Amino acid sequence: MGLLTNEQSRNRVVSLLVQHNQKLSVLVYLAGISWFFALAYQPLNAATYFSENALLPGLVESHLPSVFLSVLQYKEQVEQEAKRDPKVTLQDWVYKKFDSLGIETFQQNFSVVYPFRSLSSKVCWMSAPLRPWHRIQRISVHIAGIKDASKPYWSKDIIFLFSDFDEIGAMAWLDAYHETASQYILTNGLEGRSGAIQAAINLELPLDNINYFNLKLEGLNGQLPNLDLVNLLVRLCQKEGARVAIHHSFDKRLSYGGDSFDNYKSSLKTMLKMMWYQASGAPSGNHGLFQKFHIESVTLQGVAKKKGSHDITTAARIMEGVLRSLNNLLERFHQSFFFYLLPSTNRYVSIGMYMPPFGLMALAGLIKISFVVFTLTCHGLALWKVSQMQTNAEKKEDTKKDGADESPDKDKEKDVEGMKYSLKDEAKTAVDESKDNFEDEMKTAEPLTNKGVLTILPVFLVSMLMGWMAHQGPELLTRIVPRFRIQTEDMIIYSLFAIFTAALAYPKLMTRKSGSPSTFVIDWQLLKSIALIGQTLALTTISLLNISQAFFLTAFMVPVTTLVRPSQQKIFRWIQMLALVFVSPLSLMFLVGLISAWPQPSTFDLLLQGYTNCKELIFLGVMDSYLFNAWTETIITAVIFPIWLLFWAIPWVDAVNSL
Amino acid sequence: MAPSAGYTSIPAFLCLIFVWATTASGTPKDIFTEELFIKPLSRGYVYSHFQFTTKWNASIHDSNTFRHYRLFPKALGEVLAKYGVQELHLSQTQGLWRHKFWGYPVHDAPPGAELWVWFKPTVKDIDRAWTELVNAVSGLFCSSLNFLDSKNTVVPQWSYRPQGTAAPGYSTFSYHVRYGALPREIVCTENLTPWKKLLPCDSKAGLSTLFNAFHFHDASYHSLGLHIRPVCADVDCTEEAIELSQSLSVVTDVISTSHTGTPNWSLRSLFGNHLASTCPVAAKSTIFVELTKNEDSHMYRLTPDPSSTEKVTRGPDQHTYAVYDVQSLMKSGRVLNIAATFRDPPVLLSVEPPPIHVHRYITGYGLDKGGISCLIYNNMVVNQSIIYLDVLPWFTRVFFNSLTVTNNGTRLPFKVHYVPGKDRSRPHQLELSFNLWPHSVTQVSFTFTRAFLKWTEYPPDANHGFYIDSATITAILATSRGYTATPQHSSCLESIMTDNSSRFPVRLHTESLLVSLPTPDFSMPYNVICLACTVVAIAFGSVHNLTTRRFEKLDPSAKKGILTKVKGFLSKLRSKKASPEKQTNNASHPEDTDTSDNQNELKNENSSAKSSS
Repeated sequence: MGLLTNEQSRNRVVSLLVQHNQKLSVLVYLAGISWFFALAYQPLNAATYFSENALLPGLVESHLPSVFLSVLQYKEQVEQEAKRDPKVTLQDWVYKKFDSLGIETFQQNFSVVYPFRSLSSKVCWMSAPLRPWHRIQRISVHIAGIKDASKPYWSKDIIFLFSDFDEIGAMAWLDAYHETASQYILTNGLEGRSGAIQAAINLELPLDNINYFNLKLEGLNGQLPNLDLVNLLVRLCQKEGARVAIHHSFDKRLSYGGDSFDNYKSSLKTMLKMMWYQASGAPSGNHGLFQKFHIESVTLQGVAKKKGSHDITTAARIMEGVLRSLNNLLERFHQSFFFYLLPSTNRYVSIGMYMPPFGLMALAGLIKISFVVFTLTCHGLALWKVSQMQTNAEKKEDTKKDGADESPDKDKEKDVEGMKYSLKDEAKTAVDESKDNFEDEMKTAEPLTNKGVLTILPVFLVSMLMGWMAHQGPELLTRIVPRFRIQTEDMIIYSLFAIFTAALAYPKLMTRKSGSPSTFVIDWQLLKSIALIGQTLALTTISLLNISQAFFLTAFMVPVTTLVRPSQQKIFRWIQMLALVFVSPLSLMFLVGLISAWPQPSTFDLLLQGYTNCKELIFLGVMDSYLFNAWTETIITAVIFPIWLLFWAIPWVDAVNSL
Repeated sequence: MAPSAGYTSIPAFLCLIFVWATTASGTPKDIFTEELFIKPLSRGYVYSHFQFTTKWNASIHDSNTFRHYRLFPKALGEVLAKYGVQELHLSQTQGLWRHKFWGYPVHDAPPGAELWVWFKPTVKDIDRAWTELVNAVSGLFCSSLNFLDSKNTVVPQWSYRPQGTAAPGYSTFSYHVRYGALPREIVCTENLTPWKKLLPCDSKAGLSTLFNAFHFHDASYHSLGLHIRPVCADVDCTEEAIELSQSLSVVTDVISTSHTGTPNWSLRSLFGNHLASTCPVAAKSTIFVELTKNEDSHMYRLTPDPSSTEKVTRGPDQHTYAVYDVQSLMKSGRVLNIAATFRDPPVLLSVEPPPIHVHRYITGYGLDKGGISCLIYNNMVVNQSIIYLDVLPWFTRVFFNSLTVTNNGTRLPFKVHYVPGKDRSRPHQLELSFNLWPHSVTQVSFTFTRAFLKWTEYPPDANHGFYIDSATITAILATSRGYTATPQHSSCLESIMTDNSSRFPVRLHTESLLVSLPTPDFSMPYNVICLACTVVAIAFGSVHNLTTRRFEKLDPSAKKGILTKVKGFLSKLRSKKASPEKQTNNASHPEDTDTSDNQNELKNENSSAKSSS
């Protein structure tokens, strides 16, 4: 505990930090990111296990063989019905079928009020196409499930939900079920309800035989289902002999050792894929919306292949197993993990494992702050200490003089003198150190006029304003769409472009206003430390909600924003500006578009497709934020963008005049 | 007792002789009837209601009444006498009665246990009597009724009026009534056994031989009821009687429990046994099967043929019943297995919603705020006034200002009696009275906020959630559609056959609700203790060490022990090793050594100062 109690060693640590902050932050960042990637390595993560003992998936003894025939029979019926009129949504047929089976059946209508005034219905259809064909298998599995559902051992109600318009339909139902008012999805009241929903499984089954099952976990705003539910599905799929994957990437066979490099590569791939979907903050399936309501939910997708090894009965058996296991639950899911990453279906990285490396990465920015903050505080602290010690000593001397009848304690006086001496000494060293450092960083003394909060206040306000505009822009700007006769998605991306370009030019504009035409003079150290603190705060907060989003943002932004500083040399300035533009929210979005469009025949195609994807991504992000209350758009525009703008001002600062 | 119209003069004469004989022997008092009512419901469900009624011609207010017993159970009588009970209504239910699909039961009951009691006017301290009574009843029926403390007991203002005879003015003020419900109570065989022990024949003879716990608990719904009330001994109501009505209701899903998948049912398929005896002390033993819907469509056929078929007009609606007089059928020495055989292919009864049905649910999500909505459907062409009673536990704090009653967007006026809850001592009680418009849905809704419990107040399965009692809706209908209850004056099902009233009181219990409260992670205290201990151990240890250490000057010339000599030797060795490194350090950082020397000096000074003092 020398660090806490010994002033000398504490000062040494501080001075070390101040002296080597550049090296340290680079080191810490690299250590963090490599540790994070290392988490996918098998010896560094843990095997999944059932935390909730009540699930008892091993005890489920399938009763379904008796209704296998009926599954196939229903499948035929549904196929016939769908063929008779491909346009029909099967709604009425399903309603009648369910009703005839003695199930309480309800129909619910909903309508979408579009958040943007002038959107053609086409876009709505595009984002949520009606896919009657895809649900055929689902329906027959459901119906078979119902036959089974009337067995007396069920302790819970089972709700079978068929929804149109994918996520919007599911959202409409959920809103009506919980009677939560939505501004844009208007629902008819729901007549049939049960109690609190414990878990939801969304089935996406193909028409053909199933080759393997694919799990989708990521929900709205990066929420994940309880790990126990995921384990349950994985275990039951394996029990039925079906292969199961996360985002289409399989576990490597463990025949050549779990810690081989091949295995690591595939684990890392799976983990990054999962993080990729989670980072978007958009639900990866219909299930994603349930998590908002504290309903654990997963999508089980069957991936088709003509000669797939599993037919519909496997899916039916898995569903039965899931329902029977959930039926055993006495309490809602509360054990196991809600925050995790999966490097494979049977390994997991918990929040306790991934937070330290992430913390290291975020720490890089904080260490960098030390160069200003610590020097300033050391400066101030040392002076304060000296003055305080002096006044203390004077006071004591005074009291001694006053209380003359008491024998003066010479030793004590000596002690005080000694301490005064030592502290003065320390303060002196501290001041020296900080001075050294200042000289290191700035070489020259600063003119007093460039200091203070007032110089950076305009920058701060402009950044916030830009963030607000980017956040509110789409809704405001799309109101003028009809006059320009352009698509709403185009309008949104153009408006964002406009705001972004305007934002890029703001240091230039502020230069003009500040009187002396060629200089842009602000207290950039203060600005940078505030920006760094803001960035670290924002990223750590996001990391608690959506680790993947925070990770990717940190991985890209932190190295650039940490190292950015005014420079006298033009080339360095340009490099810094380029790097900053590269990590700006809009170009990160474009990068995402590029990555999702990756295999393209030519570079031009790639760019074009990247742009289209980026446009769609932004549009869907905005839509999600209106319809489902997704946060990604708000985080990017109202949090990350203004912080980035603060950093954007730094390379513009006139190095000669402000240093 | 009023014998039905089908009686010939000879049995009536015999009956008279019997009555005379019992009067002559000095105990004319009690009559026991056993009845079974079977009603096929929609979608292949069958509702069976066992009704055992003991009518005891004695006044409940007479202190001498509970001194001599014949058919009336002594265990119960003693409890009634001791705690001054005038009326007692107990139900223990597993499952939810679905009014929309099943109509109305004979006795409506909420999921779990429900107890409501009217005490005699002579009882002074009602709260104390209630507390003692629930403990006694809880012991008598092996249920956790003793948990009905002040936290979930209310005094209903308008609902739960006395069902039997009462002195004028007795029920004007609700001073004497207590109501409590335990929605979480699980009903099982251990509740059935003490309940059936109160029957004169137990389950040894008569209709109660059909009791089969296995079949009951396989059912979709089953409910045990026990109702005691004072009634009129005769038509003129000159004398009082005590009526004990014990009922057991079961709803069986015939299609899924049968192996064939057909809706055919029989006593054997419903209860696992046929009927082979009647209770010898029973005055009557009757089975009724409601055929109302079968009249027109002839969906199924009953075998054997009933003793008689009764058509009863209750209010505007007509009901048809097949009546089996078990005693006369048993005389032939054969067993009775009433069976309904459906036509092939079977046509199931369609759903016909009753005049009023309700649906209540929790709204909102998250652990902060929530709400309760109750949809009340009126399927009649007339206005209907109802009383709504909702009792919420103290930890769901109701916002009274959020209370609204709306119909199709229009706010309805309502009369309200609201007793706000008190933390850990009193529940929130909400009683409303309003009108339902014809053919409409009325919504009662309000919001609440969830309180934090103390960590010892959580049950072991805290994440299961916490139950909210069913709400109760009381109404007096003008129609008897879907109605099965007996008329006011008697609990015997046979009194339905002679019913000519035009008002049909119903009480509907809604779904009980499950809310989750903010629940701590209970492994957290352990983690916190570990962390706190670590921090204390590390920080406290070093600080303590630093602040309490005493520096003492050692006299180098003093005598040394062997141990110190060895230590000294070792430290010498160590310093020899270290010295070359030190020298190089000194060379590179002359200033450092300077300051450290200073520090050393200072330290020495300090220590010498201390030691000298």
